[in-house]
Amino acid sequence: MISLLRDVREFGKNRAAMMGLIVICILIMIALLAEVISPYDPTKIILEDKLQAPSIEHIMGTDHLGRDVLSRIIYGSRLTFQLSIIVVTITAIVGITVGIVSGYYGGILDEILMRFVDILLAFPSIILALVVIGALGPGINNTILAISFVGWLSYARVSRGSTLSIKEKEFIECARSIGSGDFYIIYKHVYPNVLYPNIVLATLHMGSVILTVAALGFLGLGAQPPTPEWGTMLNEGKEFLRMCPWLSIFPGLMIMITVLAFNFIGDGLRDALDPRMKDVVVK
Amino acid sequence: MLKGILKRLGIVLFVVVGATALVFFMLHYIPGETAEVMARYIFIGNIEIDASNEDVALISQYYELDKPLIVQYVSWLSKSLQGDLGMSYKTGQPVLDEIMIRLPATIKLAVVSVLISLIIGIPLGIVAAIRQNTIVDYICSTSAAIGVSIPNFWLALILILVFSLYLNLTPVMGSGGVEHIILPSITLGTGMAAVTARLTRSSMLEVIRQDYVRTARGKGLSEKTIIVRHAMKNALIPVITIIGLEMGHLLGGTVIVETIFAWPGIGKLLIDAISQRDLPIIQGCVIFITIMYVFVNFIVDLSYSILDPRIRYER
Repeated sequence: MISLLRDVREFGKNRAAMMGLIVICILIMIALLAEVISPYDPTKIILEDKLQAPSIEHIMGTDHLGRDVLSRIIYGSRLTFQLSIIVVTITAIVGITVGIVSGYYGGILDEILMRFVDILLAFPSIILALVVIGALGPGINNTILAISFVGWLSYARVSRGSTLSIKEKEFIECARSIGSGDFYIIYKHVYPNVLYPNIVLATLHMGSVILTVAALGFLGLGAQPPTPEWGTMLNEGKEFLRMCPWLSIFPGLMIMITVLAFNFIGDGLRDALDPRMKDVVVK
Repeated sequence: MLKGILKRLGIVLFVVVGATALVFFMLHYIPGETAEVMARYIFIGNIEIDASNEDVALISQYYELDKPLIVQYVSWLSKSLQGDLGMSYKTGQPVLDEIMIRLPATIKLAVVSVLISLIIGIPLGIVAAIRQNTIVDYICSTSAAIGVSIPNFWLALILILVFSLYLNLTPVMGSGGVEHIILPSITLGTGMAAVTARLTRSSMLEVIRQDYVRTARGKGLSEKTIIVRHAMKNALIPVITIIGLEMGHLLGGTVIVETIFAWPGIGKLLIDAISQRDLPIIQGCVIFITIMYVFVNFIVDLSYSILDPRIRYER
Protein backbone atom coordinates (compact mmCIF):
# COMPACT_ATOMS: atom_id res chain seq x y z
CA MET A 1 0.00 0.00 0.00
CA ILE A 2 2.78 2.39 0.97
CA SER A 3 4.66 1.53 -2.19
CA LEU A 4 1.52 2.21 -4.22
CA LEU A 5 1.19 5.65 -2.61
CA ARG A 6 4.82 6.35 -3.40
CA ASP A 7 4.27 5.30 -7.00
CA VAL A 8 1.25 7.56 -7.31
CA ARG A 9 3.22 10.50 -5.89
CA GLU A 10 6.12 9.74 -8.21
CA PHE A 11 3.70 9.73 -11.13
CA GLY A 12 2.09 12.96 -9.94
CA LYS A 13 5.43 14.74 -10.01
CA ASN A 14 5.82 13.98 -13.71
CA ARG A 15 4.36 17.06 -15.38
CA ALA A 16 4.11 15.62 -18.89
CA ALA A 17 2.34 12.51 -17.57
CA MET A 18 -0.16 14.57 -15.58
CA MET A 19 -0.86 16.70 -18.62
CA GLY A 20 -1.44 13.54 -20.64
CA LEU A 21 -3.82 12.24 -17.99
CA ILE A 22 -5.83 15.46 -18.00
CA VAL A 23 -6.05 15.45 -21.80
CA ILE A 24 -7.24 11.84 -21.85
CA CYS A 25 -9.84 12.55 -19.14
CA ILE A 26 -11.18 15.47 -21.19
CA LEU A 27 -11.25 13.35 -24.35
CA ILE A 28 -13.08 10.54 -22.56
CA MET A 29 -15.66 13.04 -21.29
CA ILE A 30 -16.09 14.35 -24.85
CA ALA A 31 -16.51 10.81 -26.15
CA LEU A 32 -19.07 9.94 -23.47
CA LEU A 33 -21.06 13.14 -23.91
CA ALA A 34 -20.93 13.15 -27.72
CA GLU A 35 -24.73 13.48 -28.12
CA VAL A 36 -24.88 16.40 -25.72
CA ILE A 37 -21.98 18.51 -26.88
CA SER A 38 -21.75 17.90 -30.61
CA PRO A 39 -23.44 20.82 -32.35
CA TYR A 40 -24.70 18.87 -35.39
CA ASP A 41 -25.54 15.35 -36.51
CA PRO A 42 -22.19 13.86 -37.62
CA THR A 43 -23.65 11.95 -40.58
CA LYS A 44 -26.33 14.36 -41.77
CA ILE A 45 -25.63 15.48 -45.32
CA ILE A 46 -26.46 19.10 -46.18
CA LEU A 47 -25.06 19.69 -49.64
CA GLU A 48 -25.74 23.45 -49.62
CA ASP A 49 -23.27 23.79 -46.75
CA LYS A 50 -20.46 21.77 -48.29
CA LEU A 51 -16.76 22.68 -47.96
CA GLN A 52 -17.27 25.73 -45.76
CA ALA A 53 -14.21 27.17 -44.08
CA PRO A 54 -14.15 27.26 -40.26
CA SER A 55 -16.58 29.88 -38.95
CA ILE A 56 -18.68 30.60 -35.86
CA GLU A 57 -21.36 28.13 -36.97
CA HIS A 58 -18.94 25.42 -37.99
CA ILE A 59 -15.84 25.82 -35.84
CA MET A 60 -13.85 23.28 -37.84
CA GLY A 61 -15.66 23.85 -41.13
CA THR A 62 -17.71 21.37 -43.13
CA ASP A 63 -16.69 18.52 -45.43
CA HIS A 64 -17.56 17.72 -49.03
CA LEU A 65 -21.03 16.53 -48.05
CA GLY A 66 -21.75 19.51 -45.80
CA ARG A 67 -21.27 17.54 -42.56
CA ASP A 68 -19.92 19.46 -39.57
CA VAL A 69 -16.29 18.48 -39.01
CA LEU A 70 -16.31 19.26 -35.28
CA SER A 71 -19.27 16.93 -34.70
CA ARG A 72 -17.60 14.21 -36.71
CA ILE A 73 -14.43 14.62 -34.67
CA ILE A 74 -16.39 14.38 -31.42
CA TYR A 75 -18.13 11.18 -32.55
CA GLY A 76 -14.82 10.01 -33.95
CA SER A 77 -13.25 10.24 -30.51
CA ARG A 78 -15.95 7.90 -29.21
CA LEU A 79 -15.21 5.37 -31.92
CA THR A 80 -11.46 5.70 -31.42
CA PHE A 81 -11.71 5.03 -27.70
CA GLN A 82 -14.14 2.15 -28.17
CA LEU A 83 -11.95 0.46 -30.75
CA SER A 84 -8.69 0.92 -28.91
CA ILE A 85 -10.09 -0.16 -25.55
CA ILE A 86 -11.56 -3.30 -27.13
CA VAL A 87 -8.28 -4.14 -28.85
CA VAL A 88 -6.11 -3.43 -25.82
CA THR A 89 -8.40 -5.50 -23.56
CA ILE A 90 -8.49 -8.48 -25.91
CA THR A 91 -4.76 -8.43 -26.58
CA ALA A 92 -3.80 -7.89 -22.93
CA ILE A 93 -5.93 -10.82 -21.74
CA VAL A 94 -4.70 -13.15 -24.48
CA GLY A 95 -1.08 -12.03 -24.20
CA ILE A 96 -0.86 -12.16 -20.40
CA THR A 97 -2.53 -15.59 -20.33
CA VAL A 98 -0.25 -17.01 -23.00
CA GLY A 99 2.81 -15.45 -21.37
CA ILE A 100 2.05 -16.76 -17.87
CA VAL A 101 1.07 -20.24 -19.04
CA SER A 102 4.09 -20.44 -21.28
CA GLY A 103 6.51 -19.22 -18.63
CA TYR A 104 4.97 -21.14 -15.73
CA TYR A 105 4.64 -24.56 -17.31
CA GLY A 106 7.65 -24.32 -19.62
CA GLY A 107 8.60 -27.40 -21.61
CA ILE A 108 7.23 -28.26 -25.02
CA LEU A 109 4.21 -25.96 -24.66
CA ASP A 110 6.50 -23.00 -24.00
CA GLU A 111 8.67 -23.99 -26.95
CA ILE A 112 5.72 -24.16 -29.37
CA LEU A 113 4.11 -20.94 -28.17
CA MET A 114 7.35 -19.00 -28.30
CA ARG A 115 8.24 -20.24 -31.78
CA PHE A 116 4.80 -19.08 -32.91
CA VAL A 117 5.52 -15.69 -31.33
CA ASP A 118 8.85 -15.60 -33.18
CA ILE A 119 7.07 -16.16 -36.47
CA LEU A 120 4.53 -13.42 -35.82
CA LEU A 121 7.30 -11.04 -34.77
CA ALA A 122 8.92 -11.57 -38.16
CA PHE A 123 6.26 -9.32 -39.69
CA PRO A 124 6.26 -5.57 -39.46
CA SER A 125 3.05 -5.26 -37.43
CA ILE A 126 0.96 -3.22 -39.85
CA ILE A 127 1.88 -5.63 -42.65
CA LEU A 128 0.37 -8.56 -40.78
CA ALA A 129 -2.73 -6.48 -40.09
CA LEU A 130 -2.89 -5.83 -43.82
CA VAL A 131 -2.75 -9.58 -44.54
CA VAL A 132 -5.71 -10.17 -42.22
CA ILE A 133 -7.65 -7.40 -43.94
CA GLY A 134 -6.51 -8.67 -47.32
CA ALA A 135 -7.99 -12.06 -46.44
CA LEU A 136 -11.18 -10.89 -44.71
CA GLY A 137 -11.88 -7.56 -46.41
CA PRO A 138 -12.08 -4.04 -44.94
CA GLY A 139 -14.32 -2.89 -42.08
CA ILE A 140 -14.34 -2.06 -38.38
CA ASN A 141 -14.67 -5.62 -37.07
CA ASN A 142 -11.87 -6.85 -39.29
CA THR A 143 -9.76 -3.91 -38.15
CA ILE A 144 -10.18 -5.03 -34.54
CA LEU A 145 -9.34 -8.58 -35.50
CA ALA A 146 -6.34 -7.56 -37.59
CA ILE A 147 -4.76 -5.36 -34.95
CA SER A 148 -5.47 -7.84 -32.15
CA PHE A 149 -3.82 -10.57 -34.15
CA VAL A 150 -0.44 -8.90 -33.68
CA GLY A 151 -1.09 -6.87 -30.53
CA TRP A 152 -0.85 -9.62 -27.92
CA LEU A 153 2.79 -10.44 -28.67
CA SER A 154 4.37 -7.78 -26.45
CA TYR A 155 2.15 -8.75 -23.51
CA ALA A 156 3.05 -12.41 -23.94
CA ARG A 157 6.77 -11.72 -24.00
CA VAL A 158 6.74 -9.36 -21.03
CA SER A 159 4.49 -11.68 -18.98
CA ARG A 160 6.56 -14.72 -19.82
CA GLY A 161 9.76 -12.98 -18.78
CA SER A 162 8.30 -11.83 -15.45
CA THR A 163 6.78 -15.26 -14.81
CA LEU A 164 10.10 -16.97 -15.41
CA SER A 165 11.85 -14.81 -12.84
CA ILE A 166 9.04 -15.04 -10.26
CA LYS A 167 8.75 -18.79 -10.66
CA GLU A 168 12.19 -19.27 -9.14
CA LYS A 169 11.44 -17.16 -6.04
CA GLU A 170 11.27 -18.84 -2.67
CA PHE A 171 7.72 -17.80 -1.82
CA ILE A 172 6.48 -19.80 -4.78
CA GLU A 173 8.25 -22.85 -3.44
CA CYS A 174 6.75 -22.18 0.00
CA ALA A 175 3.29 -21.90 -1.51
CA ARG A 176 3.80 -25.18 -3.30
CA SER A 177 5.11 -26.90 -0.20
CA ILE A 178 1.97 -26.03 1.75
CA GLY A 179 -0.02 -27.70 -0.99
CA SER A 180 -1.23 -24.82 -3.16
CA GLY A 181 -2.30 -25.85 -6.63
CA ASP A 182 -0.94 -24.37 -9.85
CA PHE A 183 -4.03 -22.30 -10.52
CA TYR A 184 -3.98 -20.81 -7.02
CA ILE A 185 -0.28 -19.95 -7.27
CA ILE A 186 -0.72 -18.33 -10.66
CA TYR A 187 -3.74 -16.34 -9.54
CA LYS A 188 -2.44 -15.33 -6.12
CA HIS A 189 1.29 -14.92 -6.67
CA VAL A 190 2.31 -14.81 -10.31
CA TYR A 191 -0.47 -12.73 -11.81
CA PRO A 192 -0.20 -9.69 -9.45
CA ASN A 193 3.54 -9.51 -10.07
CA VAL A 194 3.14 -9.71 -13.81
CA LEU A 195 0.53 -6.97 -13.86
CA TYR A 196 2.76 -3.92 -13.29
CA PRO A 197 4.86 -4.02 -16.45
CA ASN A 198 1.74 -4.91 -18.42
CA ILE A 199 -0.06 -1.77 -17.24
CA VAL A 200 2.77 0.31 -18.69
CA LEU A 201 2.64 -1.71 -21.86
CA ALA A 202 -1.13 -1.32 -22.18
CA THR A 203 -0.90 2.46 -21.93
CA LEU A 204 1.76 2.71 -24.61
CA HIS A 205 -0.19 0.16 -26.64
CA MET A 206 -3.28 2.43 -26.60
CA GLY A 207 -1.27 5.00 -28.52
CA SER A 208 0.00 2.58 -31.12
CA VAL A 209 -3.44 1.00 -31.59
CA ILE A 210 -4.98 4.43 -32.20
CA LEU A 211 -2.30 5.12 -34.81
CA THR A 212 -2.85 1.78 -36.56
CA VAL A 213 -6.65 2.13 -36.55
CA ALA A 214 -6.30 5.57 -38.09
CA ALA A 215 -3.71 4.35 -40.59
CA LEU A 216 -6.04 1.57 -41.79
CA GLY A 217 -8.89 4.07 -41.95
CA PHE A 218 -6.69 6.40 -43.95
CA LEU A 219 -5.85 3.62 -46.42
CA GLY A 220 -9.58 3.04 -46.85
CA LEU A 221 -9.33 -0.40 -45.24
CA GLY A 222 -10.70 0.43 -41.78
CA ALA A 223 -14.00 2.01 -40.85
CA GLN A 224 -15.96 2.73 -44.01
CA PRO A 225 -17.70 6.02 -44.83
CA PRO A 226 -19.94 7.54 -43.56
CA THR A 227 -18.60 6.38 -40.18
CA PRO A 228 -16.93 9.35 -38.48
CA GLU A 229 -13.50 7.82 -37.84
CA TRP A 230 -10.45 10.09 -37.73
CA GLY A 231 -8.35 8.15 -40.24
CA THR A 232 -11.30 7.70 -42.60
CA MET A 233 -12.02 11.44 -42.32
CA LEU A 234 -8.43 12.18 -43.33
CA ASN A 235 -8.78 9.84 -46.28
CA GLU A 236 -11.92 11.65 -47.46
CA GLY A 237 -10.42 15.06 -46.76
CA LYS A 238 -7.15 14.57 -48.61
CA GLU A 239 -8.87 15.01 -51.97
CA PHE A 240 -9.55 18.62 -50.99
CA LEU A 241 -6.15 19.33 -49.46
CA ARG A 242 -5.44 22.52 -51.42
CA MET A 243 -8.87 24.12 -51.18
CA CYS A 244 -9.98 22.87 -47.79
CA PRO A 245 -6.97 22.04 -45.63
CA TRP A 246 -9.10 22.05 -42.46
CA LEU A 247 -10.55 18.70 -43.50
CA SER A 248 -7.08 17.22 -43.16
CA ILE A 249 -5.63 19.32 -40.36
CA PHE A 250 -8.13 18.76 -37.55
CA PRO A 251 -8.58 14.96 -37.57
CA GLY A 252 -4.81 14.48 -37.76
CA LEU A 253 -4.25 16.93 -34.94
CA MET A 254 -6.70 14.98 -32.78
CA ILE A 255 -4.92 11.70 -33.51
CA MET A 256 -1.58 13.24 -32.60
CA ILE A 257 -2.82 14.82 -29.36
CA THR A 258 -4.47 11.60 -28.21
CA VAL A 259 -1.47 9.42 -29.01
CA LEU A 260 0.92 11.92 -27.45
CA ALA A 261 -1.16 11.99 -24.25
CA PHE A 262 -1.13 8.19 -23.97
CA ASN A 263 2.60 8.09 -24.62
CA PHE A 264 3.23 10.70 -21.92
CA ILE A 265 1.15 8.71 -19.44
CA GLY A 266 2.90 5.50 -20.43
CA ASP A 267 6.36 7.02 -20.01
CA GLY A 268 5.36 8.48 -16.63
CA LEU A 269 3.93 5.17 -15.45
CA ARG A 270 7.05 3.35 -16.55
CA ASP A 271 9.32 5.74 -14.66
CA ALA A 272 7.13 5.51 -11.56
CA LEU A 273 6.40 1.79 -11.54
CA ASP A 274 9.36 0.13 -13.12
CA PRO A 275 12.41 2.19 -13.99
CA ARG A 276 14.15 -0.88 -15.36
CA MET A 277 11.68 -1.15 -18.21
CA LYS A 278 13.29 1.74 -20.07
CA ASP A 279 13.63 -0.04 -23.36
CA VAL A 280 10.28 -1.70 -23.85
CA VAL A 281 9.34 -1.37 -27.47
CA VAL A 282 5.70 -1.69 -28.34
CA LYS A 283 5.18 -3.61 -31.52
CA MET B 1 31.25 -17.32 -33.02
CA LEU B 2 30.61 -19.28 -36.23
CA LYS B 3 28.46 -21.76 -34.37
CA GLY B 4 26.41 -18.93 -32.94
CA ILE B 5 25.95 -17.37 -36.37
CA LEU B 6 24.86 -20.69 -37.88
CA LYS B 7 22.38 -21.20 -35.06
CA ARG B 8 20.95 -17.73 -35.64
CA LEU B 9 20.75 -18.43 -39.35
CA GLY B 10 18.82 -21.61 -38.58
CA ILE B 11 16.32 -19.64 -36.51
CA VAL B 12 16.01 -17.07 -39.30
CA LEU B 13 15.24 -19.77 -41.86
CA PHE B 14 12.68 -21.38 -39.55
CA VAL B 15 11.00 -18.03 -39.02
CA VAL B 16 10.91 -17.23 -42.74
CA VAL B 17 9.38 -20.60 -43.64
CA GLY B 18 6.90 -20.25 -40.76
CA ALA B 19 5.98 -16.77 -41.90
CA THR B 20 5.36 -17.84 -45.49
CA ALA B 21 3.20 -20.71 -44.24
CA LEU B 22 1.21 -18.35 -42.03
CA VAL B 23 0.58 -15.89 -44.86
CA PHE B 24 -0.32 -18.69 -47.24
CA PHE B 25 -2.82 -20.28 -44.87
CA MET B 26 -4.38 -16.97 -43.94
CA LEU B 27 -4.89 -15.90 -47.54
CA HIS B 28 -6.15 -19.31 -48.66
CA TYR B 29 -8.52 -19.82 -45.79
CA ILE B 30 -11.34 -18.82 -48.12
CA PRO B 31 -10.87 -21.44 -50.87
CA GLY B 32 -14.20 -21.17 -52.67
CA GLU B 33 -14.00 -17.45 -52.96
CA THR B 34 -10.42 -17.55 -54.19
CA ALA B 35 -11.28 -19.85 -57.08
CA GLU B 36 -14.29 -17.67 -57.86
CA VAL B 37 -12.19 -14.49 -57.84
CA MET B 38 -9.49 -16.07 -59.97
CA ALA B 39 -12.04 -17.30 -62.49
CA ARG B 40 -13.51 -13.81 -62.74
CA TYR B 41 -10.11 -12.36 -63.49
CA ILE B 42 -8.75 -14.97 -65.80
CA PHE B 43 -11.79 -15.80 -67.93
CA ILE B 44 -13.73 -12.57 -67.78
CA GLY B 45 -11.12 -9.97 -66.87
CA ASN B 46 -13.57 -8.17 -64.63
CA ILE B 47 -14.02 -8.82 -60.92
CA GLU B 48 -17.58 -7.48 -60.94
CA ILE B 49 -19.02 -10.16 -63.22
CA ASP B 50 -19.79 -13.62 -61.85
CA ALA B 51 -17.94 -16.54 -63.37
CA SER B 52 -19.70 -19.69 -64.50
CA ASN B 53 -19.46 -22.82 -62.35
CA GLU B 54 -17.42 -24.67 -64.99
CA ASP B 55 -14.83 -21.90 -65.03
CA VAL B 56 -14.55 -21.97 -61.25
CA ALA B 57 -14.15 -25.75 -61.28
CA LEU B 58 -11.50 -25.55 -63.99
CA ILE B 59 -9.51 -22.96 -62.06
CA SER B 60 -9.68 -24.80 -58.79
CA GLN B 61 -8.53 -27.96 -60.51
CA TYR B 62 -5.68 -26.24 -62.36
CA TYR B 63 -4.38 -24.44 -59.28
CA GLU B 64 -4.96 -27.54 -57.11
CA LEU B 65 -7.37 -25.52 -54.98
CA ASP B 66 -9.39 -28.69 -54.29
CA LYS B 67 -6.39 -30.34 -52.59
CA PRO B 68 -5.74 -29.91 -48.86
CA LEU B 69 -4.07 -26.63 -47.90
CA ILE B 70 -0.88 -28.30 -46.79
CA VAL B 71 -0.41 -29.92 -50.22
CA GLN B 72 -1.05 -26.57 -51.88
CA TYR B 73 1.47 -24.93 -49.61
CA VAL B 74 4.22 -27.46 -50.28
CA SER B 75 3.71 -27.18 -54.03
CA TRP B 76 3.65 -23.36 -53.75
CA LEU B 77 6.84 -23.37 -51.66
CA SER B 78 8.73 -25.58 -54.08
CA LYS B 79 7.62 -23.38 -56.99
CA SER B 80 8.58 -20.18 -55.22
CA LEU B 81 12.01 -21.53 -54.37
CA GLN B 82 12.49 -21.74 -58.13
CA GLY B 83 11.44 -18.12 -58.44
CA ASP B 84 7.84 -18.75 -59.47
CA LEU B 85 5.56 -16.80 -57.14
CA GLY B 86 2.54 -17.15 -59.38
CA MET B 87 0.85 -14.58 -61.59
CA SER B 88 -0.99 -11.41 -60.79
CA TYR B 89 -4.74 -11.81 -61.31
CA LYS B 90 -4.91 -8.24 -62.45
CA THR B 91 -2.12 -7.88 -64.98
CA GLY B 92 -1.24 -11.50 -65.70
CA GLN B 93 2.44 -10.65 -65.12
CA PRO B 94 4.61 -12.93 -62.94
CA VAL B 95 4.49 -11.72 -59.32
CA LEU B 96 8.27 -11.82 -59.05
CA ASP B 97 8.66 -9.42 -62.01
CA GLU B 98 6.07 -7.04 -60.59
CA ILE B 99 7.95 -6.95 -57.30
CA MET B 100 11.42 -6.71 -58.80
CA ILE B 101 10.47 -3.68 -60.90
CA ARG B 102 9.37 -1.88 -57.74
CA LEU B 103 11.92 -3.12 -55.25
CA PRO B 104 14.66 -0.54 -56.07
CA ALA B 105 12.25 2.36 -55.44
CA THR B 106 11.34 1.03 -52.00
CA ILE B 107 14.96 0.36 -51.07
CA LYS B 108 15.98 3.85 -52.23
CA LEU B 109 13.26 5.42 -50.11
CA ALA B 110 14.15 3.28 -47.10
CA VAL B 111 17.87 4.07 -47.25
CA VAL B 112 17.35 7.82 -47.61
CA SER B 113 14.85 7.77 -44.74
CA VAL B 114 17.25 5.92 -42.46
CA LEU B 115 20.01 8.41 -43.31
CA ILE B 116 17.72 11.34 -42.54
CA SER B 117 16.68 9.80 -39.25
CA LEU B 118 20.31 9.29 -38.22
CA ILE B 119 21.36 12.79 -39.31
CA ILE B 120 18.57 14.35 -37.25
CA GLY B 121 18.34 11.86 -34.40
CA ILE B 122 21.95 11.33 -33.33
CA PRO B 123 22.95 15.01 -32.85
CA LEU B 124 19.66 15.70 -31.03
CA GLY B 125 20.24 12.77 -28.70
CA ILE B 126 23.85 13.72 -27.96
CA VAL B 127 23.02 17.35 -27.28
CA ALA B 128 20.15 16.33 -25.01
CA ALA B 129 22.44 14.00 -23.06
CA ILE B 130 25.26 16.52 -22.65
CA ARG B 131 22.84 19.19 -21.50
CA GLN B 132 20.78 16.79 -19.37
CA ASN B 133 17.91 18.36 -17.43
CA THR B 134 18.31 21.74 -19.07
CA ILE B 135 15.84 23.50 -21.32
CA VAL B 136 17.71 22.10 -24.35
CA ASP B 137 17.15 18.58 -23.08
CA TYR B 138 13.44 19.21 -22.51
CA ILE B 139 13.00 20.66 -25.98
CA CYS B 140 14.77 17.68 -27.55
CA SER B 141 12.79 15.16 -25.50
CA THR B 142 9.47 16.83 -26.22
CA SER B 143 10.17 17.00 -29.95
CA ALA B 144 11.09 13.33 -29.82
CA ALA B 145 7.80 12.51 -28.07
CA ILE B 146 5.88 14.47 -30.69
CA GLY B 147 7.87 12.80 -33.47
CA VAL B 148 6.83 9.36 -32.19
CA SER B 149 3.18 10.31 -31.83
CA ILE B 150 2.65 12.11 -35.11
CA PRO B 151 0.77 9.91 -37.60
CA ASN B 152 3.00 9.60 -40.67
CA PHE B 153 0.10 9.89 -43.10
CA TRP B 154 -0.89 13.17 -41.51
CA LEU B 155 2.65 14.49 -41.50
CA ALA B 156 2.80 13.65 -45.21
CA LEU B 157 -0.36 15.67 -45.89
CA ILE B 158 0.92 18.64 -43.89
CA LEU B 159 4.28 18.55 -45.71
CA ILE B 160 2.50 18.42 -49.07
CA LEU B 161 0.27 21.28 -47.99
CA VAL B 162 3.13 23.52 -46.92
CA PHE B 163 5.97 22.65 -49.30
CA SER B 164 4.12 21.58 -52.44
CA LEU B 165 0.86 23.49 -52.46
CA TYR B 166 1.72 26.74 -50.65
CA LEU B 167 5.44 27.18 -51.29
CA ASN B 168 5.60 25.25 -54.57
CA LEU B 169 9.03 23.89 -53.68
CA THR B 170 8.49 20.18 -54.26
CA PRO B 171 6.27 18.07 -56.50
CA VAL B 172 3.15 16.63 -54.85
CA MET B 173 3.74 13.07 -55.97
CA GLY B 174 5.46 10.78 -58.40
CA SER B 175 9.05 9.70 -58.69
CA GLY B 176 12.13 10.34 -60.74
CA GLY B 177 14.32 13.23 -59.65
CA VAL B 178 15.85 14.06 -56.30
CA GLU B 179 13.03 16.51 -55.59
CA HIS B 180 10.52 13.65 -55.52
CA ILE B 181 12.18 11.78 -52.70
CA ILE B 182 12.47 14.73 -50.29
CA LEU B 183 8.99 14.75 -48.79
CA PRO B 184 8.43 10.96 -48.59
CA SER B 185 11.78 10.40 -46.92
CA ILE B 186 11.30 13.26 -44.45
CA THR B 187 7.89 11.79 -43.60
CA LEU B 188 9.37 8.38 -42.91
CA GLY B 189 12.55 9.71 -41.32
CA THR B 190 10.86 11.90 -38.70
CA GLY B 191 9.34 9.15 -36.60
CA MET B 192 12.56 7.16 -36.74
CA ALA B 193 14.63 10.23 -35.90
CA ALA B 194 12.60 10.61 -32.72
CA VAL B 195 13.31 7.04 -31.65
CA THR B 196 16.98 7.40 -32.60
CA ALA B 197 17.28 10.58 -30.53
CA ARG B 198 15.75 8.88 -27.49
CA LEU B 199 18.03 5.90 -27.72
CA THR B 200 21.15 7.99 -28.40
CA ARG B 201 20.35 10.13 -25.37
CA SER B 202 19.93 7.26 -22.93
CA SER B 203 22.95 5.41 -24.30
CA MET B 204 25.08 8.56 -24.13
CA LEU B 205 23.97 9.24 -20.54
CA GLU B 206 25.08 5.76 -19.58
CA VAL B 207 28.49 6.12 -21.23
CA ILE B 208 29.20 9.58 -19.84
CA ARG B 209 29.02 8.20 -16.29
CA GLN B 210 31.60 5.51 -16.88
CA ASP B 211 35.03 5.47 -15.33
CA TYR B 212 37.02 5.84 -18.51
CA VAL B 213 35.21 9.08 -19.34
CA ARG B 214 36.02 10.35 -15.85
CA THR B 215 39.65 9.38 -16.47
CA ALA B 216 39.66 11.32 -19.72
CA ARG B 217 38.25 14.30 -17.89
CA GLY B 218 40.87 13.86 -15.15
CA LYS B 219 43.59 13.91 -17.76
CA GLY B 220 42.42 17.38 -18.61
CA LEU B 221 41.06 16.66 -22.08
CA SER B 222 38.66 19.19 -23.48
CA GLU B 223 34.96 18.38 -23.23
CA LYS B 224 34.73 18.25 -27.01
CA THR B 225 37.49 15.64 -27.30
CA ILE B 226 35.90 13.55 -24.57
CA ILE B 227 32.52 13.51 -26.26
CA VAL B 228 33.67 13.06 -29.83
CA ARG B 229 36.65 10.73 -29.38
CA HIS B 230 35.76 8.77 -26.27
CA ALA B 231 32.10 8.76 -25.36
CA MET B 232 30.45 8.79 -28.78
CA LYS B 233 32.14 5.64 -30.05
CA ASN B 234 30.61 3.48 -27.35
CA ALA B 235 27.35 5.36 -27.14
CA LEU B 236 26.56 4.85 -30.81
CA ILE B 237 26.83 1.05 -30.81
CA PRO B 238 23.31 0.50 -29.43
CA VAL B 239 22.02 3.01 -31.96
CA ILE B 240 22.76 0.45 -34.67
CA THR B 241 20.01 -1.76 -33.26
CA ILE B 242 17.62 1.03 -33.99
CA ILE B 243 18.05 0.38 -37.69
CA GLY B 244 16.88 -3.18 -37.10
CA LEU B 245 14.04 -2.26 -34.78
CA GLU B 246 12.88 0.61 -36.91
CA MET B 247 13.00 -1.43 -40.08
CA GLY B 248 9.54 -2.70 -39.12
CA HIS B 249 8.24 0.82 -38.76
CA LEU B 250 9.97 1.79 -41.95
CA LEU B 251 8.62 -1.05 -44.08
CA GLY B 252 5.17 -0.59 -42.57
CA GLY B 253 5.46 3.14 -43.13
CA THR B 254 6.49 2.76 -46.77
CA VAL B 255 3.10 1.18 -47.40
CA ILE B 256 1.36 4.35 -46.31
CA VAL B 257 3.85 6.90 -47.57
CA GLU B 258 4.22 5.27 -50.99
CA THR B 259 0.44 5.32 -51.34
CA ILE B 260 0.22 9.02 -50.50
CA PHE B 261 3.09 10.14 -52.71
CA ALA B 262 2.35 7.63 -55.50
CA TRP B 263 5.88 6.33 -55.05
CA PRO B 264 6.16 3.24 -57.27
CA GLY B 265 7.41 0.76 -54.63
CA ILE B 266 6.30 -2.50 -53.07
CA GLY B 267 4.16 -0.76 -50.48
CA LYS B 268 1.93 0.86 -53.06
CA LEU B 269 1.77 -2.41 -54.97
CA LEU B 270 0.57 -4.15 -51.79
CA ILE B 271 -2.17 -1.64 -51.02
CA ASP B 272 -3.41 -1.65 -54.61
CA ALA B 273 -3.41 -5.46 -54.54
CA ILE B 274 -5.42 -5.52 -51.31
CA SER B 275 -8.13 -3.28 -52.73
CA GLN B 276 -8.24 -5.42 -55.89
CA ARG B 277 -8.06 -8.70 -53.95
CA ASP B 278 -5.07 -9.75 -56.04
CA LEU B 279 -3.97 -12.55 -53.72
CA PRO B 280 -0.72 -13.66 -55.43
CA ILE B 281 0.56 -10.08 -55.32
CA ILE B 282 -0.49 -9.59 -51.69
CA GLN B 283 1.25 -12.84 -50.80
CA GLY B 284 4.40 -11.99 -52.74
CA CYS B 285 4.71 -8.47 -51.32
CA VAL B 286 4.14 -9.54 -47.73
CA ILE B 287 6.64 -12.35 -48.01
CA PHE B 288 9.23 -10.06 -49.61
CA ILE B 289 8.76 -7.38 -46.97
CA THR B 290 8.99 -9.96 -44.19
CA ILE B 291 12.15 -11.52 -45.57
CA MET B 292 13.76 -8.10 -45.87
CA TYR B 293 12.77 -7.29 -42.29
CA VAL B 294 14.10 -10.57 -40.90
CA PHE B 295 17.40 -10.40 -42.75
CA VAL B 296 18.10 -6.77 -41.92
CA ASN B 297 17.59 -7.66 -38.26
CA PHE B 298 19.89 -10.65 -38.66
CA ILE B 299 22.63 -8.49 -40.17
CA VAL B 300 22.15 -5.81 -37.53
CA ASP B 301 22.50 -8.48 -34.84
CA LEU B 302 25.68 -9.73 -36.42
CA SER B 303 27.28 -6.31 -36.84
CA TYR B 304 26.35 -5.52 -33.27
CA SER B 305 28.34 -8.45 -31.98
CA ILE B 306 31.30 -7.57 -34.21
CA LEU B 307 31.35 -3.92 -33.11
CA ASP B 308 30.90 -4.69 -29.43
CA PRO B 309 33.13 -7.64 -28.51
CA ARG B 310 31.43 -7.84 -25.11
CA ILE B 311 28.43 -9.37 -26.84
CA ARG B 312 28.86 -12.93 -27.98
CA TYR B 313 26.56 -15.50 -29.41
CA GLU B 314 27.66 -18.45 -27.32
CA ARG B 315 24.96 -17.83 -24.77
